[in-house]
Amino acid sequence: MSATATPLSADQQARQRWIGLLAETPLPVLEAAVTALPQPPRYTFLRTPETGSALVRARSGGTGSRFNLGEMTLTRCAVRLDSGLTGFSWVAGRDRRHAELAAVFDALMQDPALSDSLDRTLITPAEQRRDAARHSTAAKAAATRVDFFTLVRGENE
Amino acid sequence: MYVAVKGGEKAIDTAHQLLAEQRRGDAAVPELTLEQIKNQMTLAVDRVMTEGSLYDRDLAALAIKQARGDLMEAIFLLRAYRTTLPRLATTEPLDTDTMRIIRRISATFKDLPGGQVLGPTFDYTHRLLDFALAAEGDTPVPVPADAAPLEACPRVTALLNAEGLIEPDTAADDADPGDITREPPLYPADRAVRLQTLARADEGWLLALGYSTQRGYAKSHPFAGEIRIGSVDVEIIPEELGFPVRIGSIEVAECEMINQFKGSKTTPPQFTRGYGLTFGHGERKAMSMALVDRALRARELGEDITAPAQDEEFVLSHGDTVESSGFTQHLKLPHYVDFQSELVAVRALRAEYEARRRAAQNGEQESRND
Amino acid sequence: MTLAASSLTPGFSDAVHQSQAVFRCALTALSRPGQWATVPHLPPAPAPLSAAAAAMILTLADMDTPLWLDPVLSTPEVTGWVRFHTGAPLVSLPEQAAFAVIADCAALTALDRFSLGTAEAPDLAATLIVQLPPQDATSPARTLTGPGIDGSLSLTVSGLPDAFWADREAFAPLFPQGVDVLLTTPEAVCGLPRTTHATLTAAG
Repeated sequence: MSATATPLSADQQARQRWIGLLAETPLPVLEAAVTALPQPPRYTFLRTPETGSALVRARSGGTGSRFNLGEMTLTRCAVRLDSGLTGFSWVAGRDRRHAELAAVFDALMQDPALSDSLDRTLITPAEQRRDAARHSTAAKAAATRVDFFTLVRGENE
Repeated sequence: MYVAVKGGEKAIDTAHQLLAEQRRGDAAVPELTLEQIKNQMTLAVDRVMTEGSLYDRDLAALAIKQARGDLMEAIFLLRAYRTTLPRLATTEPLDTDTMRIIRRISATFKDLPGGQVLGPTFDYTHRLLDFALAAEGDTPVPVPADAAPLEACPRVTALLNAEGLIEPDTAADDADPGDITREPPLYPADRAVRLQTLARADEGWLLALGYSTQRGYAKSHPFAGEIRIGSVDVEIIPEELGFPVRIGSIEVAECEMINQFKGSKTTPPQFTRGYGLTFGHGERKAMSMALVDRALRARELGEDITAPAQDEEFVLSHGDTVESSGFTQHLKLPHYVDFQSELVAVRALRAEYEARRRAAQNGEQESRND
Repeated sequence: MTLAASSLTPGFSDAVHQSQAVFRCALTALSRPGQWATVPHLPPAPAPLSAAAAAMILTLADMDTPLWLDPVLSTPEVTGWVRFHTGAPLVSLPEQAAFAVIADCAALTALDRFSLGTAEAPDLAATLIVQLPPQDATSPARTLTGPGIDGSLSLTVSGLPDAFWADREAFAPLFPQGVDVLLTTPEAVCGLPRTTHATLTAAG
């Protein structure tokens, strides 16, 4: 797709970041964040939460031609806040409530009155939590790194 | 003639009750939870997802529980569920260069940029039954998490590519790759269709075929160029946004086999590639897939097709767990009418045979009497 | 291409159950040709797409069904709505379509522009979702016969050109090839599958 060829605007990059993080934020964290809002968000569904699949593509040799590896479950949702802002979500798995709240927060993050505080209380902590988990996994893997020593076979040396 | 179409209902219901009872086993033993299966039977979950062709750890765990641990039955359950899902998106191709690696090894280069990372492997275990696990339970020693972080891990094939010693594998994203879940297979199949078919094929089938290539049935001289296991981000480009967004990440196992190729009229001697990729930590499946992928490339590389593993229609059309177990198991279904007609036919042939035999005997008798 | 989110209207409020009910309605319409069935759920569709046609699209179309919208329906609002809710690829040529949605009935001639399927795969034929103009009872009645019809039945539809009826009859010898048609008013649907023969009812 040509969409990836054009560099994203700063707004698009910011939205790309929070949409990706909202998709990976555990549901209890999202529920707590809704409860913590100054007032409960009012919204209607443009698209009710729907579970389906995404066809997972890969490339031969990792870099070559594309092929279809399989599918994964995916749940999507779209909401419109009473303020008119629209939020979308696409979340791996089958959790409809997760998709609903991710869409709500995508909409709320576009509200200049809320975005800074939500970034501080929800998005950035989610990113830190994710990075910490990744770091821990990577560090454990790194602990199994091996250096092979080739022993001299001792024929002519 | 069709006698048994009715009357089985009660027996079938009761058989299902018995199945449920046997699945539960001894009621005094705590029931398995899906969380336990998901967390402690991870490689079974991985296999069911790969061959069920649907990445969803919870559903795979449920399928395994429901199937009493019969992974082929679980794969069937997951495949059947898969068909009920509307397809909402197609992902961007997974970028395994950016894999967050927990295992990465190469059998071709000892000193590899990024290093050899063993990860959670059965290799180097002694394959001795661990009675401590039975007696004392599973309380592993914590793994230190203070090692220096991994460096970037460039692909082994990229190192060979830099020297021009391996065939290039470059992307030509002109036409969408074929999808065997939507289009019936046609032979010869292109590599995209072959890889999709192999990705969901039975591991045992691929393992045996891969093994046959090592034993000389298709000479391909394979080396495990690189095996990587880890998690990769999955992105889609929703039309509503027009830019890629992450929907989550999945664990995958990737294997690149490097094979000797003596060259052809148009191609100098070089290494060729075979590729394997699975959901989860399906390392052995990924290796087998890579061997078979390479063997199936015989036609496009101008090699003689002499071995079963090179015969794509044979390999691709017999490797699907659901198809092969379905067609084998359908033999249990009532074939009363078919068999009645066979009985009639065999009885008629037998009568003919006896008549011929008697006629021959009589003939002999008569000629002797003459 | 990105969709303008600001102008989107919702689809079904309960996608699973409502689309199942509408699917049942479409099945009824195609199995009882010539009889009008009330569409049980009508989504708020962007004009000029009618609610009943919109319900059919939401129910039948998805990522795997190329969809053709006639020029009248090819407005940014309608194309955006269809793409957003169904993900169906919109095609520019009628012959590429699994489903075709037609609002300009007068132009519904040359049905062979649409896929008739093949003898091996008659399921590849197009299904036409037709938005009829407001009906008047003065149009000539047609006598329908075929599977799903007990003997014959009379249907009066206005707004469809003679060529539409002539083409359907011309396809009859090609069976199992042909096109299936779902006629819609704003609230109801009537099936004309390829198996249904329609002839002008003799006057008197």
